[in-house]
Amino acid sequence: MTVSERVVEGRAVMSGASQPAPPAAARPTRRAVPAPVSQVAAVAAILAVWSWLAATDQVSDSALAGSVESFARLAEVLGTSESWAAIGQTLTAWSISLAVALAVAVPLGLLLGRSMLAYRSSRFTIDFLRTIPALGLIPLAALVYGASREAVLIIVIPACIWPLLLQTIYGVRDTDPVAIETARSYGLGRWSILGRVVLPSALPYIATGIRLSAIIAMLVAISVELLVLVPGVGSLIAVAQRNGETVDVYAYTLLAGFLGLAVVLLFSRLERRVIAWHPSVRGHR
Amino acid sequence: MNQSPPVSAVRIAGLQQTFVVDGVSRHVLDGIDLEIRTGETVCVVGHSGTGKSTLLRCVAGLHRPSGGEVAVAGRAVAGPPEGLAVVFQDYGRSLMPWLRIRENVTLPLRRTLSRQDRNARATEALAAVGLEGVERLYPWQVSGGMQQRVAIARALAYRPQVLLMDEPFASVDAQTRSDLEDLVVRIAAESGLTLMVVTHDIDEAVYLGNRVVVLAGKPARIAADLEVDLPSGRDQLTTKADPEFLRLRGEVMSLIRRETASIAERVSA
Ligand SMILES: Nc1ncnc2c1ncn2[C@@H]1O[C@H](COP(=O)(O)OP(=O)(O)OP(=O)(O)O)[C@@H](O)[C@H]1O
Ligand SMILES: [Mg+2]
Repeated sequence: MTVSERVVEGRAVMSGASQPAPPAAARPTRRAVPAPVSQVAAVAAILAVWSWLAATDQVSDSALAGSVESFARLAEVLGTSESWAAIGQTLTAWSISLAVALAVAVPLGLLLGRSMLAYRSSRFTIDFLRTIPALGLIPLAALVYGASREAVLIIVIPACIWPLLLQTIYGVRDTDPVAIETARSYGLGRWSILGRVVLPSALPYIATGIRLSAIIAMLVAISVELLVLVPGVGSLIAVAQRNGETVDVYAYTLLAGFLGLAVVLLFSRLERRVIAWHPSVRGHR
Repeated sequence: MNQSPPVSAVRIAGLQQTFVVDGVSRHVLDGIDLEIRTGETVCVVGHSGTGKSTLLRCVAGLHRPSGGEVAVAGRAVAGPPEGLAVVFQDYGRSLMPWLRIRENVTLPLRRTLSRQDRNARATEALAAVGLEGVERLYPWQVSGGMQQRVAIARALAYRPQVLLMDEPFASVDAQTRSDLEDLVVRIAAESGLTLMVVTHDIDEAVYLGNRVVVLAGKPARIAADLEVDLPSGRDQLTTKADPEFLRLRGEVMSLIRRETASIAERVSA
C-alpha cells in the first residue's frame, strides 16, 4: 500500500462509514481560533437559526418545536425511568456490538495484515462485503428476528467490524520493516513480534478504527431501533412520532445526538492517548 | 568453554546475491568468501551501494542469499542466529518509538532476565556509551547521535558472541566517535566478541580491525583482505601515527581510489 493511497482513503472517512483512515492526528490540526471557541460558536449559531425558524412560523408548528421547549422537555424525560431504560438498552446493544467487533476484527486484521497471501486473497471479499449498506439489511433482519436485540446486533456488528478490520490491516502493514527485522535479529519469536512490535505499532490505527466503529455502532443501533421498534432510544423517537408528539420527537432526537457526542468525545480522547508517540503528533503536545 | 575445537565465528562461502526489481536483475554480490575467527574484528569498507549492508544482512539471517553458504558459530544460517546482534544502519528506525529508551534496550532481554537485571544491564550499557539519565525518554526525544548510541547500547546489553555493526558511528561527533571506537575495541578485547563492522571511514576501519576487507566492483567481490598488524592496545594518538597504520591506510585508500577511477572510466566511456 502506498502512502498516497492511504491518504486518499482517509478522506472519505464518515461518508462511507467504513473507509480506512490514518490516525486522526495525522490530519493537520493547526487552527487560528481555539477549537472550543469555534465549536461553541457553531452550536450557538445552529440554536439561533432553530429558534428563529420556530418563532417566525417558517415551518408549521406541528413539525417544528422551539429549541428552548425541546431542551426543557429533554430535561423532563431524563427524569423518567423509561428513558433511562431506553438509554440502557441502546448502550447495551452498542457495547456488545463494539466488543464483538473488537474481538473479531483486531485478531483477524493482525493475521491478514501480516500475511501478504491472506491479504491479497481476502482483499476483494472485504471490499465487496463492506459496500453492502448496513441500513439496507434492516428489513431482512426485522423479518428474521422481529423487534428484538438480535435484529440490532445482526446489523450493527458487521457494520462496525469493517472500519476496525481495515484500520487494523493498514496499521499492521504500516509497521516499519526495520523494527520487525530488529526484533527478529534479537531472537524474538513470531508471537512476541506480533505482540511487542506489530500490535503497538498498529495501535494508533486501531484506536482510530475503534473510534469510527464506536460512532457507527451508535448511529446504526439507534437507526435499527427506530425502524424496527426495538426498545431503545431509537424506538422512543419512533413512538413519539407516531403519536404526533412533536416536542418529544425533538427531545429524544437531542438525546440520541448527545449519546453520539459522548461517544465521539470519549473515544477521541482515548485515541489521543494511544497515539502520543506517533510521528504525526509528537511535536504538538 | 575452550574444549570445542576453534570454529570460525562467521564463515561465508561462495555467497551470491542477485536482486530482481521489476524484471531487471541486478547482480550485487559475486562469490564472496570470508572467514572470521572467533574474537576477531573485521572491518568491511567499500563504496556506497557495493553491497556491504546486503552482506551483513545475509550473515544476520535476515536475508536469504541467492547462492552460497553462510555459517555462524559452525551452524548454517537459516534465520537469525542465536547470540548474534545487529546495529542497523537505519538506527533510528530500529528503535521502537512507543517504547522508552530503557524498554528499547531491554526488549531483547525479556526472555532471559528478570526486570531488575534487565534494567541494571540497560543502565550499565547506556552509561558505557555515554548516556546517562535518558532511560525514561522516548527515542524521538533525543538527538540522532544519541539514538545511534542507544542502538549500540542495546546490542552491548544483549552480550552477543557475534556483533554486526553497519556504520555504527555515522551520526556522532568526532570526539564521541573516538570514544565509541575505543569502547568497542575494549569490549571486543575483554569479552572475546567477534565483530564485523561496516564503515565508510578508512581510518576507522584500520583502527578498529584485525582485518580490513575491501569490497569492490559490480558485482562486488572481495578486492583485498588485509591483516592489520598493529599492537592490540590501540590508542587514538599513537596508533594513528604508527607507520604501519599509515601504510595500511594508504593501501586501502588506493584500492578504493582505483575502484573510483574505474567507475569514472566506465561513466565517461
Ligand atoms: N531489497 C533489495 N531489493 C533490490 N535491490 C536491493 C535490495 N537491497 C539492496 N539492493 C541493492 O543492492 C545494492 C547494494 O545495497 P547495499 O545496501 O548492500 O549497499 P551498501 O554497500 O550497504 O551501501 P551504503 O554504503 O550506501 O549503505 C544496491 O545497489 C541496492 O540498490
Ligand atoms: Mg549500507
